[in-house]
Amino acid sequence: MNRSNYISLAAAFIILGLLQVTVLKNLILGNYSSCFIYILPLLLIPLEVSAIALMATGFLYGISIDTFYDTPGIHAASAVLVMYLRPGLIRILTPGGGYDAGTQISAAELGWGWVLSYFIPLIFIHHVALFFIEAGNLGMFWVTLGKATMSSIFTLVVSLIILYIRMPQKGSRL
Amino acid sequence: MYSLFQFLYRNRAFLTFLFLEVISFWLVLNDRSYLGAKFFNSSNRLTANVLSVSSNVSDYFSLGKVNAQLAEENRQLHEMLLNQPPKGIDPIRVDSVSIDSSNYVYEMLAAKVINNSTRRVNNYLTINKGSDDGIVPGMGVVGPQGIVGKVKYSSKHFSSVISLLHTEFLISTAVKRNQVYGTLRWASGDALYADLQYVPRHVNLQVGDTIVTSGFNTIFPEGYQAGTISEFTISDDATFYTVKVKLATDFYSLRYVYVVKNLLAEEKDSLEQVTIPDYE
Repeated sequence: MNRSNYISLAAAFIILGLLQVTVLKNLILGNYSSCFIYILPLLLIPLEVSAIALMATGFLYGISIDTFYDTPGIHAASAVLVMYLRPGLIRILTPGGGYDAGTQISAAELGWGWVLSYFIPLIFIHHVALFFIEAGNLGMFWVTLGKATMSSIFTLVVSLIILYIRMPQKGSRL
Repeated sequence: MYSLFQFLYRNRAFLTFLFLEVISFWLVLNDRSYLGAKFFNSSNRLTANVLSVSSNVSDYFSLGKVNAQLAEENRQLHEMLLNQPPKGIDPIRVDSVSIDSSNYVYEMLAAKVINNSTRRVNNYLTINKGSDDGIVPGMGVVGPQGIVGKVKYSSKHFSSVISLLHTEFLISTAVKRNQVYGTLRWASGDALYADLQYVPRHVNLQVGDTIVTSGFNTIFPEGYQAGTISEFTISDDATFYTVKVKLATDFYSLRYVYVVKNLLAEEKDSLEQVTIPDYE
């Protein structure tokens, strides 16, 4: 992971964060499905970053999103949860020969299968945590779970599109 | 001692996780109880400025609707003027003599909505007026069509407002026709409807009855429109009606609001503060 990768990752944090709070915040498909694309740069943080740094980043980023949504703590709590689970999932998904030094999280290096089995659980856990903390109780369990599921699909599709668009340019992936 | 440190070090990731989650949930719960967490809301300067720029762009797409709303409001005001009973005297001259602004109980302040949500469980708005314009937390916010919410925090130039679409925001209201009191509360879900609670079963209700603010609290002026009854039911063993109210304010198209300043609020509230403990 060289310096230009970190710069493009920082740019992704800012651009996708702003996109989230200005555009996507107001975009809800069929009253059910919202897109929380701000989670994508968190998932693309390089493998060598330590677990504590991951959670600290997740917390700060989550709390920034929270200030725009007027929901102190909700996005922070879900992002920290995802960042806590991330290293374990990456360990489980270790390919046959292990990860090479400097491997980046991308479809080109790890394949779409790996990317899907990495994105789907983490995005789903994030959205479930988000919607249930927001609801504050289990009163409307199925409605909340439905919202979380529909939104996960939305976020996943947008994430994959962004990864696909960024793929051909070698060395400067998101 | 050494093994304690070893234990802490070995579990540092989990302990960091716990620590951050505790902070997050503390913020969540603090916000629920209307206390603290003053910093992480959309009235802080950076956040509000970003929202303001984004709303400046999106405003152009709703100009037509805003114009129509203002025209409708003007029509109502003109109608009120025309329907004043003629007393043989020029009403405008009488007004300007007898009502001077030092007798006003309410002052209103127009503000633009720069951020609004309708689809969450607890919704908030951000408006572009703040403490520099004299806004303090607790003031009521009304729109062209009806009541909107209550100021929660204000920074220098912005305020964040608890929307009527907030499940813990209760408003004292009355049925206009027979002055029966009830509590208006949004039950999440549909942004067009809220519930009217605690209307006792001996009361005669009709679909279409207008619900107005009661004036019991100092947030809203008395008689301000809240909505109309769209349906009501009562089961045989229930004490209170289940009433569904169609809200007067269309939160989807809300662009401009008025902040209501009750000049006598402090007097009324402090009097009640003094009185209430005597009975408890």
